[in-house]
Amino acid sequence: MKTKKAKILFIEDDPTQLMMYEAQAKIKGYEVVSAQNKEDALKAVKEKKPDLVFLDILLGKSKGTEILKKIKSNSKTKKIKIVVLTNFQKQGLKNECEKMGIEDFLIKSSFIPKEIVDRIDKYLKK
Amino acid sequence: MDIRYTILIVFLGNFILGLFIYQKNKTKLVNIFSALVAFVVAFWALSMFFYVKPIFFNSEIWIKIVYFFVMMMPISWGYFFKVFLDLKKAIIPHLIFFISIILIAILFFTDWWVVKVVEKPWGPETIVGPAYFAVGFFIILCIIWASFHWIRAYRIARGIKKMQLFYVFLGMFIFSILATIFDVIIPIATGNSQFFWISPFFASFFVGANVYAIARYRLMDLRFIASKVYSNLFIASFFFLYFYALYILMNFYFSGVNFLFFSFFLLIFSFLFVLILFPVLEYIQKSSDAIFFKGFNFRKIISNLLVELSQFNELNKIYEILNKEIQKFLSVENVSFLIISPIQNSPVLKISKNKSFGYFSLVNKKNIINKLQTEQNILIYDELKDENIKKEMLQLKLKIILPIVVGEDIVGLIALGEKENGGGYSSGDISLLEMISNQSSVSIYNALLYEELKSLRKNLTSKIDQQTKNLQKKAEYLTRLLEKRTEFLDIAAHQLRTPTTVIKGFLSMIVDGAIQTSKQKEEFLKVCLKKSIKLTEIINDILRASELDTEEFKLDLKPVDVNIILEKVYNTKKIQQQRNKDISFDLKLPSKKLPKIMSDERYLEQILNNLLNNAIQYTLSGFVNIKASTSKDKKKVIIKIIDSGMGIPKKEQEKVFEKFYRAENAVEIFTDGSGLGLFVVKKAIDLHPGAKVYIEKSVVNKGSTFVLEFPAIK
Repeated sequence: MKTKKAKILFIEDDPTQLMMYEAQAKIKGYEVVSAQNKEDALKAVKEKKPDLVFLDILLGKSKGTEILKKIKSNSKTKKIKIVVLTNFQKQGLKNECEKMGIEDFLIKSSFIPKEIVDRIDKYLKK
Repeated sequence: MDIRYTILIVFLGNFILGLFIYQKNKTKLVNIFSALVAFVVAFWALSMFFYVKPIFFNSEIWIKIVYFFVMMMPISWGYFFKVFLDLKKAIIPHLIFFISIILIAILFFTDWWVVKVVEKPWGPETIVGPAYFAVGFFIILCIIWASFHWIRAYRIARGIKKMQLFYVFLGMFIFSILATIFDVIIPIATGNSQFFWISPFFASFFVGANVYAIARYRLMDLRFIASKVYSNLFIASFFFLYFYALYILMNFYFSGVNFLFFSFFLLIFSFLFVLILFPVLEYIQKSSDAIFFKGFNFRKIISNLLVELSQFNELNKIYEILNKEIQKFLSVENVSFLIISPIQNSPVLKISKNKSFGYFSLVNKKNIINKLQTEQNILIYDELKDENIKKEMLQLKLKIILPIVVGEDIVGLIALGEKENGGGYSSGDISLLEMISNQSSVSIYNALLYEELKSLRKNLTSKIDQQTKNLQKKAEYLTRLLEKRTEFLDIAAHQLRTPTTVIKGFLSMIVDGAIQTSKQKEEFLKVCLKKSIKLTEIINDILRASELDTEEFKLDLKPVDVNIILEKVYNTKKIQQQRNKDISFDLKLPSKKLPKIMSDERYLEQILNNLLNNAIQYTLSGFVNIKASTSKDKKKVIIKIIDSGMGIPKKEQEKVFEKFYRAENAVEIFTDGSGLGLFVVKKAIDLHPGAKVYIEKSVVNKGSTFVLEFPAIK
């Protein structure tokens, strides 16, 4: 597969869910990295230079939107494609994220892990 | 016709005055004695007439009758003074009576007083004996006695009484001086007593003054009479002089002048008369006013008042003007105004300029109020007959209460105290006051309406402001409520989606065959089960929280056996925790059974479950214990949930019972807590009367102790 080398970063604080998405992505042959908090996430973005980031919004103490802002405001990382993957939705949140430049806004519970991972190629081709 | 016939006028006048004062109040002693004095003077005058013109009997008999009535005077006068000055203990009048009787006996049965009567060219002349001088001395003593008492009474008298005393004394003074001149000085100096018949005229002054004083001042106003006499006298003099001048001119210069010229002259003279008549009349009137009504020009006062009043529509200002005017013209000590609002029908303003007088209130003066309401007329203390009203006015130190009437409503009162000089109010004063009240009533009414309008506007504005504020507050509250509800739904959705995502994801991977090893498959299924349980808990929490958050919600409180509930909750949890080897889990019940409490079983279980779930979730190793006991006074059941978990930071301990609040350190280790557990506990406990929940102790990384307290049922 052409996209086998693509590097995917999951930013997710719940280890169970992280394990689930990692497992699914690995099956599809992607290179997977993960981060459970803001500091790790920013570090991973800088050092690992992922092709695509799945970003959760509620991350314990920190907010996904803050991480999004940081990545998009840094000229070195702003090209990185980001998909918001969360169960948290509130009025204006999706709009706010889209303004900062995201590929998609997905509600976790609406998809099974396979459906999500299947979309990765589409996002990378854009 | 003999001029001495005029003495009959004195008889008639005094007789009528006597009848008048007696008619005025037949029961009052002072009126009876005053009338007696008048009758005595009347018959003195009548007998004097017969002495001069003895139509029957002779002058010697008549002179004795004249002197009889003269002796009657100290008697009647003595008693009049006794009652008029209220000298209850005085015995002098009785003494006067006794001596007078002796002197009358001397008059009739001896010739020590009247020796004989001789005919002189001018009429009868009486030769008097030594007793005559004794009588004179006696009368002087009587006058001294009366004067002594009069001075004493006059000094303490106030108001109308002072005025009455003044008139009585004036009458007495004029009478005694003139009588002395005509009855003693002239006869002694000239050797004949031909003018002594005039004395009864002077006695009329005395009678007139007495009657005037008793019959109340409103009968007539001396000042008014004096001013009329003055102006009429001058007008008559003017007419007389003018035509007398014409007469002289005609006699000396125009006798024999031709008729045509004479007619022409008369025409000019008439024309001149018309021309100067009115200026002269006006001048006389003015000078009369200047003398008798100093500063009392009604027209001027009223027109000034109207001009001043028309400039203001504020009550305070109007009172100030009225106060100033009234004090200026009447020199009254206390002027007060009580203004009754026509709309509120209650006293709204009380004003008094005089500090010593203070404000007055009619609250308890129901007699005054009744009288004012029924008659809407001026109340004058000295004229009132109703003793109750007088008493009330005396309490208020008021002499006059004048209602200010508009239409049929009393809008206010002008209340006056005593005059500064202690004098009474004359009819001139009263009519001035009435005029002032009439003229000012409309101004006051307008001012009242103006004030009413002002306060109405003020009230309205403040009311609208208040309502606007209330509406704003309500809108803010509703907005906040809506925000909270939306937030609740957003978070609830998140909490429900999280375990769903995991269950759905894991199961899909198993079905898809993405999981190869059976060990991993088993691991995944276990997670699914755990998340299903969690999902149930979250659904319960959300439902309970939503239920408890409505204000109408009430628990179904019944006596509940805590022992059974505790065992049940403990056992369920124990099974779930069986494989968790890191935590010891115990229930410690006292040896004696716990008393029952008032609670709702479902909610009590929920409370305990939520507290236990928290304790277990946030304790990675150590223990979770339930310890139940009865308080020392046996009035409370105390349940403690003690753990050796991560604890709650001190500053957050108060907030943990809030909806969706999760302590900072809680999110680090347990990510799918609903944030509703303690909120549900708190809400449910608040619905138990007398129960409470609190954190007894919580230390970070050492553990927490949550306490539940319920009142025990006896």
